[in-house]
Amino acid sequence: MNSEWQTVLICAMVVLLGMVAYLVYLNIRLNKVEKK
Amino acid sequence: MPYIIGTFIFTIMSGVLCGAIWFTPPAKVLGETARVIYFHVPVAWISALAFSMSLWQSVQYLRTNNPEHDIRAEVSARLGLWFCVLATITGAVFAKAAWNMYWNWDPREVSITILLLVYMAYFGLRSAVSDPETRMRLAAVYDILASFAMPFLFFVVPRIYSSLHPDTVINSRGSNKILDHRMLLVFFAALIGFTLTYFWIYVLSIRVERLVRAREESDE
Repeated sequence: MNSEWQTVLICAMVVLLGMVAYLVYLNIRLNKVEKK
Repeated sequence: MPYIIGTFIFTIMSGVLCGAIWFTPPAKVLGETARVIYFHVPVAWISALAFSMSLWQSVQYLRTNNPEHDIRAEVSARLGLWFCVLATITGAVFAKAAWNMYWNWDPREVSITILLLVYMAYFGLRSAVSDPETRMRLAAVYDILASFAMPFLFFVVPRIYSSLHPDTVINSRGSNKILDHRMLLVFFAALIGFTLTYFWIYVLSIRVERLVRAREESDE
């Protein structure tokens, strides 16, 4: 795999994992509230 | 109904991912690296949309004094900040491929850094004021001021100073000659898919924030 494709795949992963990370953050926030 | 919407968004996003990798041809100037626009541009667009939504909700809060609008403004600003961070990271990865440096203080990079700092200060302000009524009012006023800076930093500054940022790939004086019809199809599908994803996460975030505030109020 050349460096151009690596750049594209890294960007795609950053964006998709970034959105997943935000959903995980929401879930953690929700669990904290429910535990209180 | 939520499952139908979720399935629809998942289908569009999967289609965008597959289309960006297999369906679209490489660009004339940037080659395979140009495929970054199917992720970087929609994320930057969502950031601008979220900040605009936050502005609208802050105005609504000042008009009505309804805390629901403050919740929506905060949630949207948080999402805007998060998507702005993602746009900055993907931009830096692209910069490494195109200019051989992750960060070179290009006007676009400087303006997005200032924008990040402006909205970080919004959350700093929110956490610094303990009285809820004062916090909501101050945050709404600050958010409106920050939102006026947003289009200036997003769209005006990078066009005043000469920038390496490849705007002309998409909007070279209104023509789309560099993007062929397959690239445009995936690009606009990405914009729609990311916009729907933003609204989906926005609604989820509002529900969570309502619960958090209700619990905080009951604790007090």
